[in-house]
Amino acid sequence: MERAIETRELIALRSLDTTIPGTFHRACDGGHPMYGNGNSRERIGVLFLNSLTPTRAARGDSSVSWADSFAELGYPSFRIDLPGFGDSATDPPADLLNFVNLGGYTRIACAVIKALVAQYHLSGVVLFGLCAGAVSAIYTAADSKECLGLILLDPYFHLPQANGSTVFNRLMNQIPPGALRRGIRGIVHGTRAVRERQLRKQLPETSNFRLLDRWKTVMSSGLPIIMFTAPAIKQKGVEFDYVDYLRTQLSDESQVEIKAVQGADHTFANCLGRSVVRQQTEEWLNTHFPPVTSRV
Amino acid sequence: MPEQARYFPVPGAHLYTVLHHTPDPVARVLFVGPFASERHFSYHPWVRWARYLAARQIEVLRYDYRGVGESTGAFGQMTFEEWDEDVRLLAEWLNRRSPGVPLILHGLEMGALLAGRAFEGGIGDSLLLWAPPATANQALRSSLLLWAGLEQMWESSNNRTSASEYIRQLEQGSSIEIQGYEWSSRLWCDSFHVHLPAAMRNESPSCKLYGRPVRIVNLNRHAAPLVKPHLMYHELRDLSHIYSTNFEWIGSLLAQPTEA
Repeated sequence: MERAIETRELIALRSLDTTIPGTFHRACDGGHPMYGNGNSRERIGVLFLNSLTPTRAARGDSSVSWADSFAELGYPSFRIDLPGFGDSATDPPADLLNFVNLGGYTRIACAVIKALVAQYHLSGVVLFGLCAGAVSAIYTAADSKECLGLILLDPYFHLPQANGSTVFNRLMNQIPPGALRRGIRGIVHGTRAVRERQLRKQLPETSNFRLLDRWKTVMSSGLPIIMFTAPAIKQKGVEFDYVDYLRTQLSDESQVEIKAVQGADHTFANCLGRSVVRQQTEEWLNTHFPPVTSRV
Repeated sequence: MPEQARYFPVPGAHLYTVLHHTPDPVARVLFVGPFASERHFSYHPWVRWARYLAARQIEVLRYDYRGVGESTGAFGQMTFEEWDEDVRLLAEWLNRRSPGVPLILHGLEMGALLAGRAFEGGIGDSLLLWAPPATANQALRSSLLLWAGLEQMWESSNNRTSASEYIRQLEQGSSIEIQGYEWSSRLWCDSFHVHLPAAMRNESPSCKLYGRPVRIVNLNRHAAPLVKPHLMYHELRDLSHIYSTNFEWIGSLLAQPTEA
């Protein structure tokens, strides 16, 4: 039994009195993995944060393959199980989604970044997050000096339907299932869609304003950001086009690239999504954070 | 309880393993988990079950199949023979660790099938099967049907591909992608020939045949997300009744006098 193999090492980071299990993908230099923590010196690391998928491998082990690719390019990459995920010692919070939406993982993620930067002598990290992981990444980037870039996959900027909808649903449940119920639902949803299209520039009341505020901070600071969206997937009950809204908010200082990946599913775990994300992220990393080579 | 994550070398790859260590264990259990696409759905209750046993002086080793999760290797190139070999090599390692302590093989869904085959080959002192399929194809087919059904929800009616169409593609030699895993045509064809040993369809005949205890538990949807359907995440669902009844069975084995 071994803790490390040629390209990877199993790690256990101590942060904020808890142990964060993870996998370190060694950066390659000249096609060979580098050994020893000191060899990461001055390199940018890529840190993967958990989405709602229970493990750090993510759906279809997509995060494993991305981390392997980035490490081969020369970026030490780290996948971790935050508390409540995978092999971490604790259960997830009872309301995990709400916890994530309110930035619940910010503190521990910032502490993990500090620990990685110190232990592996990194010049900083780029955060990689899918869906809920992207939400955590935005919150963390706003609070972490060591976060130097963001790779976001299908972030969402809305909160689950508020109480009004619950009341609506309760009322609807009084109507027996069938055509009448479907008809009323269709009319209400259609009306909401029309209203939100008309108020295109105005954020809906279900927006995650706290997250949008952090996004504004991060985006206006000039942090390099690449965002992938899967336009084929329409999130249920979300009519407002947040990506379009974010585009209108970009300033001269912003370094935000938004890429729509046609044919990808929301997890980007399918072959097409996976390869587009890998290829375009590699180009983006090369542009903003050229790999450090030890050979002259 | 200390948990130790390590890589275990197998031919051409390294398996990701987690040993739930316990001092002076009264038994050891090798967890053979569900198939690739089910792994992450059942991960939480599977880990909780390992911790439940470790807290009761039963050491557990769980792992990821070759080519899956944290283990290395290309999933699309793996075969059932290699996954059978994973079980055998890990069981041997556990046995070498402490030969006097009984070894229980424990499998879930596809893992139950692999554990059952290893047990038939003489490995393990007892066998605990959760939701075993009759064949590997049955396990693959149910995953494919569930996935294809979910896919339909996202696609327009023009782009929809039915489960039978995916099966036709596999049978005609093409690979398809399920939940991010590439299923080769060979995997599909081989799966028809990977059977749960016939005697293991019922407990009594298998206990008689093998002369070692066997327990078969058919889990239904109330055990989700341990088993399908995994339509929603239910990480915190209380499955303690499953844990406690199965622990009682393990306890009863340990209470039995051993033959001289």
